[in-house]
Amino acid sequence: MKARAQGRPGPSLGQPYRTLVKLLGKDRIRADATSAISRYSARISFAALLAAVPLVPWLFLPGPLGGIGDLIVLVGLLALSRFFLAIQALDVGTSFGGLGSSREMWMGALAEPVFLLVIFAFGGPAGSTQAGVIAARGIALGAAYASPPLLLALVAYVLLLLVETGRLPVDNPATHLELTMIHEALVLEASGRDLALVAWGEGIKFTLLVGLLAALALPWGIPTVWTVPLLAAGAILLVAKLVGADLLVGHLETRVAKWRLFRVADLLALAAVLAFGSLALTYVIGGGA
Amino acid sequence: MILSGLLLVIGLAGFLAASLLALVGRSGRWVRASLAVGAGAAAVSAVQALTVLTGADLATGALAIPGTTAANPLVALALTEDPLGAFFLLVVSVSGAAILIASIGYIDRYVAHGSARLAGLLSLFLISLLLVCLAGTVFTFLVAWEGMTLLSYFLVVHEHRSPETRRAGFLYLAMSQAGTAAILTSLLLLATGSGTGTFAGIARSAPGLPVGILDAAFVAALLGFGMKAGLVPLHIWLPEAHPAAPSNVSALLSGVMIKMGILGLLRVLFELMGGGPEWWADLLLALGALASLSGVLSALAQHDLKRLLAYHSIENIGIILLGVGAALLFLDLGDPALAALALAAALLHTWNHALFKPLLFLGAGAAVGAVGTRDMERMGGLARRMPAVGVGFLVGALAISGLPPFNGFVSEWLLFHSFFGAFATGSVATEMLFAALAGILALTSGLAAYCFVKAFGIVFLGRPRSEPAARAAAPPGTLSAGMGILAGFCALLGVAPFLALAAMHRSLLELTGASLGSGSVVAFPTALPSPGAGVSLPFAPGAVALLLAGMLLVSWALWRLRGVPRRDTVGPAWECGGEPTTARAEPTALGYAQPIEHLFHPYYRPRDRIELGGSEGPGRAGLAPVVGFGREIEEPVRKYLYHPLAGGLLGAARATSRLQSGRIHAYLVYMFVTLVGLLLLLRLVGGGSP
Repeated sequence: MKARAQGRPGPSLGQPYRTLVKLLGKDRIRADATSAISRYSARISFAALLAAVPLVPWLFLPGPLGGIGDLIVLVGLLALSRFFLAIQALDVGTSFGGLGSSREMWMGALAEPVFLLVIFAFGGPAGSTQAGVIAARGIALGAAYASPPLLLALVAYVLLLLVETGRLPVDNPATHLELTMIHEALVLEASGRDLALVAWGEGIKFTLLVGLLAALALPWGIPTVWTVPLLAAGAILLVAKLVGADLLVGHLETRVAKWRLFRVADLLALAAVLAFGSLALTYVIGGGA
Repeated sequence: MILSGLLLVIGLAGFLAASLLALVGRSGRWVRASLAVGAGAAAVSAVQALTVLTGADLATGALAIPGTTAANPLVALALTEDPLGAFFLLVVSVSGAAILIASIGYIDRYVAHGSARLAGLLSLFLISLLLVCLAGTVFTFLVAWEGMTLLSYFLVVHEHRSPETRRAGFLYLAMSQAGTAAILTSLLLLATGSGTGTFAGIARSAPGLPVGILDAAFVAALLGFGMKAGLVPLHIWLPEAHPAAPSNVSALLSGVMIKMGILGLLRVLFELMGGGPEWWADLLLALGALASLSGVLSALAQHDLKRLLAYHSIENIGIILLGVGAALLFLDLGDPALAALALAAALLHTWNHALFKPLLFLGAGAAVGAVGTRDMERMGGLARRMPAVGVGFLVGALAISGLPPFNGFVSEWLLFHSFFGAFATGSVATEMLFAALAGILALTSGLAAYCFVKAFGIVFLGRPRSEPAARAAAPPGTLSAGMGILAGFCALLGVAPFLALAAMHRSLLELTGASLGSGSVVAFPTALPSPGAGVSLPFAPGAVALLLAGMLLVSWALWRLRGVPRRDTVGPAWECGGEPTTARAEPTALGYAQPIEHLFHPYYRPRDRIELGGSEGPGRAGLAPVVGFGREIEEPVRKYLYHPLAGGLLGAARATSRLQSGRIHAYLVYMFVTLVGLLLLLRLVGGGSP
């Protein structure tokens, strides 16, 4: 889709999955300096992402396992996944790995407060940090849910999404030009099955965060009662929402060029200010609580 | 009551026996036996703490030493069994036992440098820590506190042959004495009018004291206990003293001793004064935010492994203080449930830090011992040389970075939720304050993860950066065993924090009037118990851990989906197909943190040092080759606060010395003038009353 917008024909939608299956059947090559960390961390990192999936209400409310953890737990699991990728990159003992690892952790550290503030901005009025409860309030409120503070928080979340998933203008997922890559440098030395899990994990993280966007910003249509037609309608709507959000991100990526690394801090600062502003609006004007 | 008293006596006797074993025996075998006996005594103390925490009658639990109470109430020696002291006793003895076990393997390197003295002092030091937890009177507390300070000073200067160690020790001792003076002032101010020296007696009368005295006592307590806890800007002894001490001592200092500052602060603030005005809470919150952020920023810039860990202690004390300040503020706002939540977060983080920081210091000790330097740039690849230590350090790193499923995540999660609860208080200023604090806390924990990826990655992963690192030998098994105990507790409290919540149940009730749960151990996979109406805690640590474990199985299965893989092909790193590189191309500790230094440049103000080679070097076109690069970072508080202060102090001392003429009649005149001055002051202030 991104390729189409850039005037290229682009690979088919199924291509990434074909690559995945191929890679899953391949053996690994490990660098000679590595320790047990390289042997296991791809799988640990992937598992942490998988564990975060049920914390988002995809198809019904409250989410499948919404009761056992809230969005702060989700942030913790994402950070756990990132931690293991970052130490894996250092394990190889090459300069690119270290470069990518340092940059990734730098962005992660700066993104964390923004994520927290966005959670507070969405969750404050609902009195909960659980995605399911926030979405349920949105459904109950209907159109009145789309208040100005919420829009601010939404913009902040989209900026955060670009940073967290390494999209342009922050990082270019397609680049292999050594000086500009962040995430790619991180996983440069992964191969075979590990590379498959890392690439798949990246896709899961993107879908996860987009799904969260859909649940928080467009909660309507998520069934609150268990009936087959409602679930089916919810599923269709979910796919529509996801595709819509993907199109939005793809469009944003096509419109901007890669930024210098340190401008990412500006972007995150902007997002933090927006989220904080959203909270201030909610409480000063008295729209919430 | 009788059982716990018996256990207390057994524990104390055990420690005494342990230190005698070491000091009298002096040989390697006796030293090891001493440490083992000490660890046993610590285990007995842990059991004693548990009997107090689960016991029925607490009010009567005072152990007076006969003959001292009646004569003069101010110098009464008595121990008490209160829930807060018992909680800290539990914290001290669990970590103490693990550290002593680890020391059995670690202490051998000090055979030539008085390992017997080190082992003997360790057990005595634990006695003093135990007495600080249990002290029931002002006098007992001060004696134990001073014993703790002096013993820790001797432990810090164990390697007294190095001038750097002596300097660090002197700074520590000087600041500690100032701190003790402040604590003495605070406690005596509070004791005025109570006619007694027992904490219980003071707690009855202190809240009725005039506001001015309470304020003064609060400030003095904050200075004194803050000094010990390493509160910014009173922390500068900490990054000097911790690296200078042997690593098992650093583990005790950083993991356990600085927590005594927190205990003292909680005793004075909540027990004796029963809370305080809002500006105290605001001050605590501001100091906590300052400490956590500046601690982690300074840590990131370090390449001395132990100094890096010392700065993280400052950060974690900041996080604990955020919880204490929030609890105080919520009490002022009349919300005991939130106060209990915030205090639970602070207490849990106190215990957590007492577990993962010794774990990290012991790991660092193994690395430093094997490589022979504290400089991270000369380590690397150690996980292959000492796998058990590597795993232990990794667990500590994950826990301190606040990542699930370890204990650091639970306490930070609780703290976030107490901040989130502030959104229901209805005051805009409070809400915005806590939104900002949540941002700072999240930034701190993100940066901590950054820093520990750096620490673990540079020290334990990659290729060795120096010859000794490549030949490093694994430490003895007892060191790994001690680390294993600590790592096990990190995981246990991360998966089942109910155990810790039950242990602090009575303290929470006593200090805030609310608690999390009922004090019983709640079923394992359920959500955390709510402290009161309106506060829900949607987090089930056990269930999240199970989920994570399940997903690990899934990803293992996916990994094997297309058959069991052959053995990994091992070869040189790919690196985009370039030439094979050496360890010189590996990222350095300095370079790894460069992005953050760039961003926070005004905080660091680094001074770069570039060494240029001589003109005969292979320079090109008149350019001298760079042969060395270093970056020195001095903390702002040292430059702007302590240097002028030390200068002023020396100047004042010089000015006073002019008074000392050595002539007796001049001294008599001084005494006379002082006496007249005091009488005049009394007349002016007292207004004629006797």
